[in-house]
Amino acid sequence: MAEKADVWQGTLALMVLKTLESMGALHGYGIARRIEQTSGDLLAVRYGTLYPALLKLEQEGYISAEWGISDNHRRAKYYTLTRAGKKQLMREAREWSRTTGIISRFFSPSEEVS
Amino acid sequence: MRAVRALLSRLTGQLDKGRKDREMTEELESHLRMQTEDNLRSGMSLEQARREALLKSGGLETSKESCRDRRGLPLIETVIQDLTYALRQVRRSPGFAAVVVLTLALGIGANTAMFSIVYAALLKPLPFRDPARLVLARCTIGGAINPYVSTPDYYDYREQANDFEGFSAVLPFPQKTTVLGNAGAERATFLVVAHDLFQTLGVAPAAGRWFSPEEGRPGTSNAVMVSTHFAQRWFGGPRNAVGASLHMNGDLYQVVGVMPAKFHLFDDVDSWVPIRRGESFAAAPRQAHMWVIVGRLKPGVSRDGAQHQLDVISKRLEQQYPASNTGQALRVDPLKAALKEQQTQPLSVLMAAVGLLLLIACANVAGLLLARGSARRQEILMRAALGASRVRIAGRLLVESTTLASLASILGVALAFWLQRLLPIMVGLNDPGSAPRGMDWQVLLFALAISILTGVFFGVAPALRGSSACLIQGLGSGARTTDTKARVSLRSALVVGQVAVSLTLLIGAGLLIRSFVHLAGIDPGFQTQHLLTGEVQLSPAQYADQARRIRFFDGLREDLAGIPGVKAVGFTSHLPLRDPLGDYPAWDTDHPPANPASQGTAHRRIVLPGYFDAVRIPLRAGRDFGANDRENAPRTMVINQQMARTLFPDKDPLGRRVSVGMGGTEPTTFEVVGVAGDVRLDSVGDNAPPTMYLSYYQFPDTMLRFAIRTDQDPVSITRSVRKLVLARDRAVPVENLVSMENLISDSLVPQRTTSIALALFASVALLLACIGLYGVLAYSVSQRTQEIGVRVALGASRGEVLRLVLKQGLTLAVTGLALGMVAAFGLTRLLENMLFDVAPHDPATFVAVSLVLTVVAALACAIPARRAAKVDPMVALRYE
Repeated sequence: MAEKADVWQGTLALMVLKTLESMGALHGYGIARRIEQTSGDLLAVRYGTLYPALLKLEQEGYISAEWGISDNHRRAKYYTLTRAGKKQLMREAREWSRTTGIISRFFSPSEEVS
Repeated sequence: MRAVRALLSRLTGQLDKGRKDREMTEELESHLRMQTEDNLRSGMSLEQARREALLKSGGLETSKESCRDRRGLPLIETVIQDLTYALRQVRRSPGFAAVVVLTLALGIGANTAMFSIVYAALLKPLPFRDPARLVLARCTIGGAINPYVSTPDYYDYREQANDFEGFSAVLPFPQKTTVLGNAGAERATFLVVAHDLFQTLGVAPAAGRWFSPEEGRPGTSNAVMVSTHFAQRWFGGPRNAVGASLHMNGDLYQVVGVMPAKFHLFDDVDSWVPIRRGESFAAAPRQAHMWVIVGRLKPGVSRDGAQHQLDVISKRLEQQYPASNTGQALRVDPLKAALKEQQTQPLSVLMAAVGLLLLIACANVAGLLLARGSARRQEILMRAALGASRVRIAGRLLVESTTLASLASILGVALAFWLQRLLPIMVGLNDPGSAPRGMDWQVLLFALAISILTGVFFGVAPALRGSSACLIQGLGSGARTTDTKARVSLRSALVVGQVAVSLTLLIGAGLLIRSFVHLAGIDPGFQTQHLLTGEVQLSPAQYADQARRIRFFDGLREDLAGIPGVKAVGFTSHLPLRDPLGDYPAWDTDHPPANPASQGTAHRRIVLPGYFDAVRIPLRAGRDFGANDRENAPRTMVINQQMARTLFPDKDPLGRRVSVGMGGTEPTTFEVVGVAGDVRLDSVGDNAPPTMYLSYYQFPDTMLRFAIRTDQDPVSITRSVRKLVLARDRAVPVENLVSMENLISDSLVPQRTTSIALALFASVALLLACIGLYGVLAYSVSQRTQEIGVRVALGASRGEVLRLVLKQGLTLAVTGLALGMVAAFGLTRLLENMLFDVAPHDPATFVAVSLVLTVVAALACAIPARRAAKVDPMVALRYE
């Protein structure tokens, strides 16, 4: 198995927002599973990284939380994307693609400057 | 924006911690359960599933910690935690906390009390409008301040100087008068001021209005402004006073306004009367100096600019009136600074002394904390082992010191209220009412500032030491808790510093005390014991006839001489040491000075025959006045030795003539008939100025003061004196009956209070320093108990042990002494102005104080030394 890399806090926030956008309301475990699946099992999500990130997003007002009943008829805390969160997601996604675009130019074969 | 929202969220994260914690635990556990279930579904056994889920989680407890950190603000939580811990520490060792808090409270309280006095006296801005533009204008002669300006000069400056928005003269000596009302006659005081004085100051009346310009001109109805206190007493309130009539000074006055209760300038008086040019005081000639001037600069005008303009005018006056104005100029100073001149230095010295006292107290506390720090090493090492960073440990120690400092500051401010009232009494101030009451917010701010500084100052060193890396030496049980060398030398350095500072303070106090003793002991030139003084004022209206005045006082003199116990009675216009004022230009008639600028002046006193005898001023030559020195006889005068020396050096003054410029166009000529001994007229510290005595018969004024020599306590004849005066004339009051000795000691009050206060602070400083010395030594002995036990076991005698400890203590003391001496040499120069007949490096004081300090320090060292000498080697060697 490949070594699972630790996830940076900032990108984790982006991943959480994206996950909630595509999946709708989800509890913490669901978010973690989804991130692992989407990354092709290359990312390890520790509780100590995920939950503080969720708290931060909640404090900043990008997501909202509510206790509900899970599929197994157990209590679980569900997170939903807020309108501000949606806007932030779009903003961050734009930033991200811009950044990766610039970086990738450094790594792609460059043409000789004549 | 989002960040602010997040911060607020975190701040409120402290609330309802229990519920949130439970929810978080529930959430994490449910995550764990779901992961386990998924693992089970993918085929693992129950045990494997659970273990794998746990591994994946990354640790439940640490995750909870991270969440908690995110939820609240860890910094605040830490501080609150430290605070609770600090308070618990206080409860656990209340004795230690009490000593620290009390020591600091004393320092903080004394400083706050002293600062409230300094603030009220020196720093508080004057309660007038725009006080920065107010100035005090005073006359200078030959560059030296001779503050009073003459009436014609005042008007000239006023007309010609246009850099001023207000230019108002004040006669800064309260005048006394009789006010007649339904209930009888009462004495009241008043100040003569320019009609626009209150406008210049910018103080609105509490009721009524200011004087109008007309009321400042002669020939109009008499106007007066009264104080709120007087209006209350006389009319029942400020409102009732306005427009009412007042019979004072033998004339009818109308009250036009009432000044607010808190108004104060130069003196607290009952009323103010406007100057009317040409009348009474304002009729005096150019040679009579009497006014000071309160001025307000126009906006945009600098003091230098105004000074320059006044200098131009002064030059002009010099040319116009060379006889009177040569060498004269008018000098402006900021009003507040000028009014506070006399108090500035002594109060600054005292404030510095209390500040040093606080430093010593802090050093003591720092020493205590350092000692405690070594005892707590185990605890700190444990915490370091459990993962606390150096910052955290230092932070906690600092919070502990700050907690103690805060407790001390609360106690200190409470103490300050009490000290504020106690301090003036302790230093012998007879009028504690003049001390400030209550605390302005500026004073409380000061208290807060020094509390914080104190906390930092004494807390930093122990915090740094306590958390230092060299602590990490070994945790094993049974490790002896001996101190590091660095910590010991820091404490020793602190003690040396304390001793040095106390020595400096003690030397300062010693110099001031010596100076005061000299001042109190010098010979003023006459006999001061058993002398009752007082003042008799005749109403100018009723005693318009000069002969009548002479008859009254002649008769009174005889009556008073008849009182049993009275040895002699003297009457004079001005008593020595009490009533200064009144100098006039005087010169040798036969050798008038070529240059009017070098003309001398002499103080003038008008006396009845018998004055010199009563007051015991020796007559060195010639005679006293007699019945022949009457109105129509040629003018005679008695001069004092200083005047004889100045005017007639190496000549016999008897029979010579002196011309005096007393106003009018021509000087008056006198024949010298006697020479009297020198008397210190103004204050005990000044030398006797040239003085001339004139015969009352030739210059009968309505007011005379008396000095009655008795053979018992002078105050005992007060009633008889009053009765006799009343018997002569019911409407004539007798005032200011006080013994000469009390007068003199009252005049020395400032010097006395300053020296007592400094001595008090210095003694407390010495006490604290000795406590510090004792502490260091006692601690050192307890640390070295085993070593001492070994020495004794190996044959050292008790005496040797005693000497060993004493040597350690005295080394510290002597080092401090040496440092203190050096500091004192440098600093006592600052006291020079306050010293009288004592050099700032007076060797006697230095030596005496050093001896005292050495003895006291030796005593402080003796106790631990004796304890060391008593160490039983058997016990010591077993002690771990």
